[in-house]
Parts: sequence; C-alpha cells; structure tokens
Amino acid sequence: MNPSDAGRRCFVAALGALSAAGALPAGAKSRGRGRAATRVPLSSPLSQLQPSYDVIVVGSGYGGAVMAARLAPGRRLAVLERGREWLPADFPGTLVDALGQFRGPLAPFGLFDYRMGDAIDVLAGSGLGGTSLVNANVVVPADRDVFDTWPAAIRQDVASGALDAWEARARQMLAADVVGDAEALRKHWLHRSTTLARARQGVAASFTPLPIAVNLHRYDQQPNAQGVVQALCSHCGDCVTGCRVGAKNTLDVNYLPLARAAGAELYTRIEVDWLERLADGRWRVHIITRPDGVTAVRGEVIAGSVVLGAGSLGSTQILLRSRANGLALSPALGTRFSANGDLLGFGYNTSVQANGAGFGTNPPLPGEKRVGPTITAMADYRANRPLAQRFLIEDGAVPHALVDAARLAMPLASGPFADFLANERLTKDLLAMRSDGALNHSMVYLGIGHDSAGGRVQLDVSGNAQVVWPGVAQEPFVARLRAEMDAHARAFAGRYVDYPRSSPIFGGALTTVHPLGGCPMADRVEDGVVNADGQVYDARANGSTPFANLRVVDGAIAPGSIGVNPLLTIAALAERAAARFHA
Amino acid sequence: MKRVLACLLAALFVGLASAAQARGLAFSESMGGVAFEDGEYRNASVSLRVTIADIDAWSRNLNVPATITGTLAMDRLPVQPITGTLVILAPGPGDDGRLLTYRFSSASLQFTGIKHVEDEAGTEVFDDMTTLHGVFQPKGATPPTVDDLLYDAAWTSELHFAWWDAAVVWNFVASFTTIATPWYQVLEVEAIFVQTMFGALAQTLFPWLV
Repeated sequence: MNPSDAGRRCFVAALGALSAAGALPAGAKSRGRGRAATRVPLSSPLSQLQPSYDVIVVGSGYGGAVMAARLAPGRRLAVLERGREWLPADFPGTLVDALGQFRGPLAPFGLFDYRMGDAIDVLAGSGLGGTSLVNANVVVPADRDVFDTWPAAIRQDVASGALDAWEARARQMLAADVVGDAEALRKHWLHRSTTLARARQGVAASFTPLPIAVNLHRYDQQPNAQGVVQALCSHCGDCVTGCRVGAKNTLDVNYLPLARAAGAELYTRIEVDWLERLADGRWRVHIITRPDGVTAVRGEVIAGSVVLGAGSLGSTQILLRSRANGLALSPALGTRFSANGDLLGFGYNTSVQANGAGFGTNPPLPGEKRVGPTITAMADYRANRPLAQRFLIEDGAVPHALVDAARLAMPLASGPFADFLANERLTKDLLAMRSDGALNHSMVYLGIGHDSAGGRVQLDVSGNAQVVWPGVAQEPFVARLRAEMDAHARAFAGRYVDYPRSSPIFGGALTTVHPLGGCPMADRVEDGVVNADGQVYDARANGSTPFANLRVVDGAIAPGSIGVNPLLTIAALAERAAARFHA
Repeated sequence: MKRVLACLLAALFVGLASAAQARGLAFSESMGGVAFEDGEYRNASVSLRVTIADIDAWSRNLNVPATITGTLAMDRLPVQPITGTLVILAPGPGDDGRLLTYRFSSASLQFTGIKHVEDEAGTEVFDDMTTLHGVFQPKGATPPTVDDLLYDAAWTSELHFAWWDAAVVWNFVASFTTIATPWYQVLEVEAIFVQTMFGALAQTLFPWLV
C-alpha cells in the first residue's frame, strides 16, 4: 500500500468511524447539567510497573474491568490498557479533534480503534474503560435461546437462573436508567411514533425504552456509589465521542475504581504483544510501551495468571501472535467472528424535527435544546420470530464533531426530494448549521440482528488483526434491517439512506460497533478456543484441557451473534468467570 | 328644512361612526404538518377562519386578538371544530421580533403556538410568517408560555402554510372579506390591514427604514 493509499484509507476510515459512532447511537435547570464533573485519575505511572504479578488483566473494557474489580482483593493484580486515561474534558469536541483520535502509528493512544476490512469494518473504543468510553451504554439482556448453542455449563446457568443473577450484579454496578417522556426527547418520540405506525400496519413490532448506563437523574455533581463525582446528563447527544460532562456510567466510574480501591494497579499506554508460557506454568507477557508517545519500547512482565479482556479483535490478535510464536491453541482461533447483525442507516429528512444533531458542550442551537443520550429506545422485532430473524432498531444521534460533515454530505447521498419543504431543509443545511435543516429532521438508526458468525479474524502482514468475511453484505439480516428502516423513514416522509461507508463510492463495506467472536467458547477444543469459564484450551493436551491460568473474558468468546447490545452479556459472563476463578 | 337636514347629517354621522367602530376583516388560513399528541407524532391540518372584528382597534393595538373558528384534522382522530384567538404581529417579549400567537381548542384538545418573525437575511420572512410551532394538549392542561415556546424549544408540533403552493395562496388571498364595512370603505379597511401588517413587519425587518 503506497502512502497516498494509506492516507485515503485513513481518511475514509475516519469518516466511516465517525459516522458509525453517530449510530452508536435539554436544557435542564438543576445545577449540574452541562457542567463537567471533576475526576481524580485512576492510572499509575509506568515507572511503578512491577516485574511480576499474580494476575495481569489485559484491557479494561466490560470483560477486563469486571475481572479486575472482582479478582483484585487478595491478589497482586495489574491492568494493562493500551490506550490512555480520559478525563471528561479531554474528549474530542470537534471534527479535527476527533479525526486526530483514530488509533494508528502516529496516534497509538487514540480513542477510536477503527479497522477497515474489504467487506466489514470494526469500530471499538481504546482507553481506560475500553469501548464504554465511546458506546451508547445500552444495558439489555440477550434472549435466552441465544445461548442454546453455547457450552453446556452456560446453558445450565441460563436454565437455572444463575445468568440472571450475574446480569443483575452487573446491572447494579452499571446503574442503568431509562429515558422517560419528561426528558422530552423528540427522536425518542419519533422512534416511538414510527414503531407504532409499523405495528398498526400489522408488523409485529413494539417500542421499548432501553436501560442505559447514563447518569440521567441520580448524581448532580456528587460522588456515585464508587465515590466518583458525576454530573447529570446534559442531553447533548455526544455519548459516542466521549461524554465531556462525565455523565456516562463508563467503566472508569464504577468497576475500575472498585478494582483500584481493592489494590489493583491500573496502567495505561501499555500494549500487550503476545504471551509466552514459561516452564513453571506462569506467563511472560510481552509488552510494548511508548515512553515518548510514539517510539515502541519492548518489555515483559511475568504473570501467574493472565486474563485477556482486550476485545474481540484485541484478544484474538494477542492469541494469534502467541500461536505464531509457538503457543498451541485451538484451530478455532480467529473463527466465529460476528458483527452482531449490526447495520447503520439514516431515516433522512423526515417531516419531524427530531433533534438528532448533537451539540456537545456548545450551546444548543435555537429550537433544539435537547438531543438526548445517543440511544434511548428500540423498535423490537423479536416477538414470535425464529431467532435468526429477530432484530432491533435503535435510535441514534450524530455527535457534534460529525454534524457539519453530515449536513453537507447527506444531501449528496439522498438526492433531491419531491416535496418543497424537504428541499428547503436540504438547502438550509447546505447554507448553515441550524436546527430546522434536514439533518435535524432525521433519525440515525442502529439495527442489531443475527448473522451467521461467518467472519474470520486473521493477522495482516503487519501482524494486526483484520476481519475477512466475503459475502457479509448478502446475509439476510442486512436486507431485513434495510427494509424496516426504510419503512420507519417513510412513515413521516423521510428517505432511508445507507450509512456512507456502505455506499459503493466508499467501498461498500458494512460496519460493526459490536465485534464478537474470534475466540469462541465451546465444550471441545476442536470447536472453540475457550471453555465456558473463558479458560483457553491447550491444544497439546489430551482432550479438551484448558490452561488453568489463561483466560479470555470479553466479546471474543461469544460463539455467535447476541442480537442485542452485548455489554451486559459480556459483563455478566465476566462476573461468572470471576466467581469461578481458582488460579 | 334645516331641522331635517340636521337630523339627516346627525344620522349619517352616527351611522358612519358606528360603522367605523364595527368594521372588520376576515380571512381563511389552512396549515398542515405534524402534531405531537397522545405520545405520538401525527400528520395534522387546520382550516381556520380568522376574524378581526374591529380593524381600527387592532391597528392601534396589535395585542387585540382576532377570533378563530375552524376545524382540526389529525391522523386517527375525527375532524374536530375549533374556536380560539389569534394575536397578529404583536411585539415579541423583549422586543424580539413579532409574534403571531394562536390559541384554539376543540372539545378535547387545546393548542398554543407561535409564528416568530425575526430580523434575518434572505427569504426567511416567508418561513417565519408561515411556520407555526406549538403544543397540542388535553383541554384544561397548563399551556406553555410564549417564552417556553420561543426560548426553551418547548414546542412539539409544526404546521406550515404552504406559501409555495399557488392554489393555497390563491385561496388565502381570495378569502379576505370585510365585515360590517360600507362599500366605500372596503378598500380603506383592506388598506389598514395591509398597512398595519407591513408596518409591523417593516419595524422588525427594516428598523433602519422606519
């Protein structure tokens, strides 16, 4: 790839990722709204990193953070996070700031990890707190029959209700809340209206407000249950570029402070390269630090036990590199990659001013005031359908950093309308950003369904994980979601517009914000990389015997699509794995 | 003879004076768009007959309301007769442009809304004069204030007069009729209406001119 190709790919990746972030999916009067909460950093300086630990947790997302919090008491435990620690005021607020936060050789600590593929791109967060920093924090359980193809022990926990208890534990820590009508969020109302319209047309769809891990009503510049000061949600619509007021219940305000209070050491800007098994059964963790911010310096830390929680691509990448260095692992490594049936789209230029254009920490536009948390509700198409045909459509918002780009680009994607008012709104957007333009009369949709988990994670020539999945765009979930998003858009004279990266002009690839699989769990080493507790199978051992002290606990272990936003499932599986940790 | 003439003049004076006090103007306006009612957005339209019963009083004080009668049509609801008031082009709070403030109700619903004409560039005046932002509520609920609608984005419904549609504009223009106005004052009444409207608009849009 020549430099100009690289530049173009980076630019397209940046635009694509920001658009995807927009799908990841109010001026109140109380004292805290809109004012950033002050925080005390959690991470320790690199100089304090010890040569060895009882447990090393790699990554600080929904798997790693939970494991760190639960395993820290009584153990010398360190969390190694590749990204940096983010305080609320540090998150990007403009397009230029956001474009500078894409991870790459020149920005190794960037907030957005966007990996382009030929058929599918993957967006994840990078930083202390992982993807919780840039997701929409939807806390919703998976359908129970999703687990029918999972290992027997998981199925047993589902049947006994034990999984419910793990989920309840995670839900309590994440302090989920629900947007109500008092928030007066127009995109929430529009989503309800179009969903009910579909139901009246005979489609089996229902509207459900979603629990989200956002401080909507609880703490007004007050310490939360873990002692971290939080501000109330300002309804700015910028959840997915990082909450600049500190209202999101990201992992750095709940599980990670709990871990630190229990003695865990949290280190940022340390990337784990690969793992080496020592003769005594411990692990040599090969790490890369960048003391000057760019130049890689190699090092190592010894761990009695390793927990990989670096995300679907991150954990799979570490194991693929480890296998390349001699570690015997399951042939299933890299398989069962799922996009969780994600599809991003727009219901563009409807007749309803939905107020979906985020304003961040800027004053809201006249006539706008409240945008809302990025995701607030779902149109639920799960009832009375076979598992593979179930799906959700969630509302979203365009983060402020992307608003100007979107208002100028979307008219090109949509083309002109027949209706005078619709064209007038297009013109308004082309002339200036205002609340009554086409973009603010639009809905961002995040569809989540079920796919075949037919993707494969492999290392590219640079040794970085990439997803290969020819034909993913032809999977049935894509057409199903597109058709239904189109029906929602048309309910109020709007037009369905594909997410730009899906356009042939930009390569025609899908984008997932919920990467799953790569280290699938199974009852046998032939079928999976880990067992039901997340322990990695030792391919040299007889039968399906795992390494007792090497685990993967994150979205990588899901053997298929989950069909809802997966954070609660991942956190609950981590709670379960932590309770069963005996090494 | 002088007495007869005096009586006739007196009668004419009284007649003219009473006619002048009562003379008025009425016109029709139809608007369509989206209403938020009972938790859902719905396509909606209103057909209004606006009556300025005393155009002289209104021209002296724009806060004198006109009366409204008409019908409200909304998806999944029967067409409902409505009555109410319209304050035409009174100054906005803090002299922030001009407002057309609509308040009307049916048997079960009430509406409060404004068109806000402000000093902006280009053809915005057409939008301002024809875009009604307001709130439909169950009858008897506490209505939003003008400040709520203007500054707190509290409006939830948006109706438009289709100024780009020639048939709609023609129907609007052709709907003007005078009330209790002698034939020889019809033009004067219409002129007062036009002069007052454009005078108020000019004060907002071209303050340097007036």
